[in-house]
Amino acid sequence: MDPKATLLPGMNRRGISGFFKKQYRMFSRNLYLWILVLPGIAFVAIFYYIPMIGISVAFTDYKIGLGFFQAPFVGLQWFGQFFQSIFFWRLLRNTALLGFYAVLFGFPFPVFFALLLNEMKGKIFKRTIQSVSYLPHFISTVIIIGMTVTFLQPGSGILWVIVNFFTPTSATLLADPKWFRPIYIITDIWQTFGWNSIMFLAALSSVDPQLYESSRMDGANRWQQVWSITLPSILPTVLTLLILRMGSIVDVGFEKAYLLGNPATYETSDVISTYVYRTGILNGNFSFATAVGLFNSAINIVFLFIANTLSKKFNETSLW
Amino acid sequence: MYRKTLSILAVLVLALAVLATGCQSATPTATVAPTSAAKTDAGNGLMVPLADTLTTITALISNNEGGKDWSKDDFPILDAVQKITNVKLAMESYSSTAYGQILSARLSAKYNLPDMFVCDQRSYDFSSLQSSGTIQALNTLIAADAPNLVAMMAKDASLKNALTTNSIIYAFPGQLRDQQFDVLLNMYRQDWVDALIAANDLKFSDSGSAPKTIDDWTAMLTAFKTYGDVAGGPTAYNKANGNVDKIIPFELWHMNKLNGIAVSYGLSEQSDWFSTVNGAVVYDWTDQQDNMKAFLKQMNSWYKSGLLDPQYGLNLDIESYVYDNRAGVDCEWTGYASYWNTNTPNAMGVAKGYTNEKVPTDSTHDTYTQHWSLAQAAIANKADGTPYVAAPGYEGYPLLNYVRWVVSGTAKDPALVVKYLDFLFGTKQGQTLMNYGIQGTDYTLVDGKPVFTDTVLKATGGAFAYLAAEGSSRLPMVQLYDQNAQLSGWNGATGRMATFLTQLQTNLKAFRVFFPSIPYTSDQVAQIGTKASDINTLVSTYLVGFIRGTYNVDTDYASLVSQIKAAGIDTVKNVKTTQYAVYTAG
Repeated sequence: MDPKATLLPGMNRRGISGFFKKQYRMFSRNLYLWILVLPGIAFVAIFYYIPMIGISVAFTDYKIGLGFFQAPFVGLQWFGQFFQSIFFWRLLRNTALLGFYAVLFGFPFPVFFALLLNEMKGKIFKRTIQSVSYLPHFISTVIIIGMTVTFLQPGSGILWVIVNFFTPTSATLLADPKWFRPIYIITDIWQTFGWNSIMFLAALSSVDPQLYESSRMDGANRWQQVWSITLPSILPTVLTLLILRMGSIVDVGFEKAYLLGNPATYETSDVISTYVYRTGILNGNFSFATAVGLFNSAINIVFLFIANTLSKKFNETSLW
Repeated sequence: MYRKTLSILAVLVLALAVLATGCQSATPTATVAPTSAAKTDAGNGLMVPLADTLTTITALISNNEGGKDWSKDDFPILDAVQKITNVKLAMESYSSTAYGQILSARLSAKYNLPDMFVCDQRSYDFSSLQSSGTIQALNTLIAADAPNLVAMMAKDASLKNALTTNSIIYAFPGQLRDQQFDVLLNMYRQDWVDALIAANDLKFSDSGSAPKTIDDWTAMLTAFKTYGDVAGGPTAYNKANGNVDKIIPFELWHMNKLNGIAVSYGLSEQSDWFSTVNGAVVYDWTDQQDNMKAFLKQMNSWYKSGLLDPQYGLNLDIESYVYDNRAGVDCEWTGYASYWNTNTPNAMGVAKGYTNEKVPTDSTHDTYTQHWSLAQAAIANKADGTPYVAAPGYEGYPLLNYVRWVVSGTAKDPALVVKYLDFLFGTKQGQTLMNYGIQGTDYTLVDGKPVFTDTVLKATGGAFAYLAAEGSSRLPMVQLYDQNAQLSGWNGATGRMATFLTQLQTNLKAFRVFFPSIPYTSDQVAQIGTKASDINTLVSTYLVGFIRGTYNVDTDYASLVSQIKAAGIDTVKNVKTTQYAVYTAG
């Protein structure tokens, strides 16, 4: 057996003390880099890792006043209660579909937009379009929903008038379960496509101009340049962002689903986060709410692994 | 060297002083300024001053929406209470939206708790909080230090029952009315009705000027709809509306706004559809199916005919329709009618940006009712002509509402806190201060009875807001009928309003309260779990669906009932039945 196999990375035959000495040397050599990164580490530790202690609430019968560790252990009781809920499958379906549609329709849009913007010549026009497309990102979700409701007002809302022109209806679209998902996705794309295109524009700007020059000399037209040079060049960025996006596929935004939904549309609008708020938070069932939230996160992790594995297999681009 | 040592010492002392200051409680409980006063009996043996030296009690409280910040130390009523009791109330306040989160966080951490705090009892498991030492059980304290509350509970068993869970009293009452006067009912535009009747466009079953039956309501709403849309129509009703916008015959920005019609079918929307029939707790959707189906069909018929708010179910705040002269009917609390009638054109109308021309101020109908009249609960008849409810009355909160004052486990002097609450709540001095404010400024005595001055009655922003800014309304109090009658303009009411108020008191025989609010035990909390919430989600979806027509009462109702049962309605009903038995026990 190779004696080196039992050593940790960075260790040598001089043993533990040698290992720590080497670590210390590395640390002191990069002291300023460590100081630079320290606030980031502290932020992640304080706001992301320490609160994970709260996950324990999902396995106990937590009551206000008892504290995290005094609450009696109940195992998987809350998970069982959620799985047996009459709304379990509906919530799972609604959450997954909204997340899936958001990726299916929402993810490609900024890529196309960035490609189109990249092909534009007029700098002023290009920058104006770019700035205008960013604006909705800075509007709060509450305002976005307020505008949506106004636009969809029966009889007077501009979107209602347009929809009514193609499909005559006197109904309130906001009260129709069939319309909830399209309204949710369309407003989501409108709010985010400009901002989300920034990463792709940055990737596009790093494509070597000589490649375009060579292709032009070989007689390639604009479409061929996009297809054979631009897209392959930004593909790693696209895939990395897609993998990251898959990691939050069922992380459907609470505010929007809550504000846009109503009892008339619960059939399609009630998602895990709104259910957790209504059933868990408002009624003081904190353990139940935590368990359902944890379940939601577990699904996200599964999607993240699947996307990463597929990407690694077919495109050799992955997060790890 | 000597100078250097001295400097170091000075810095250390300074640092220690700063630390000591920082470690002090944010809201200190302190005793200062000794005073000496002879003690007098404020009622039932509660001796004032309550403390020999000026003592501070700390409290956590939520602010009135748009009202004065309770942490400001300038409430004349509380200053007057302090003079009598020798107790100063130091309050820490937050907006009503932030309050629940802040209180929950502090209770969870058992950190920085005040001597007492206000809360909605429906949101907290008191038994668990008490067993963890976060709050106090008050039985012994009340027996020893709250003689006025003890006397009131001895007089009214339901008060004691509502405060007690498993023989333990966890909290002091928040607000109690001395008699029922504020109920939830429908209001309608009397001026429109009068104009329509005069133009022979509307006729009620008894040829009177107020709707009595569901058919009358259908006729009235239809007339609102029909003639409201006719530009330049023949009636004074159209003129009053200025023919500007289409009318919403029945304004329904909130789902519970149909409560005023549901009571005609013996149903209680406001109590999450829990009612009592012959003393037994029933769930309307499963136990009163015939009544529920009839109600839903009627509502669906109104909706299809355009008589109900087209946006019903969306919970969009469109109450502006009321101020904008577009709503014909609304479901509200009794006090709103006079509030709207007196304030819409002037204060509220202008505040909302409407001009007086758009909201006419004059009325030829009678001296009081300019626009809105309170409606008697309508009679809904079955196919055989018999009514669903023999004498439909009204619904309102029980005399004791769900607000409670809780004494925290860390209170420095729990007995003093309970004495202070008892003074505000149970003594004549306390009740007069909390209801009428300061004598001379806010009220004068006429024949020994407090009568509000114009300072209150004509206060900018309204009398209720004025009194709240003086220190009333959020603290424990018994709200007196006479106070509300004066503030709502019921005293000296003439015409229809006076008649209605008389009928209201008579009809209180048919009055029923919303399902009483009693704290759950830990065991009941565990039994109910998420069942009640799931059932509410289910029925709210179907309610909107049945009324809007996306579900059909004849074909979909059975499926709903089986889903409600699968969601655990029997368990929830058992818990409610146990609660109701406790509430009604002698």
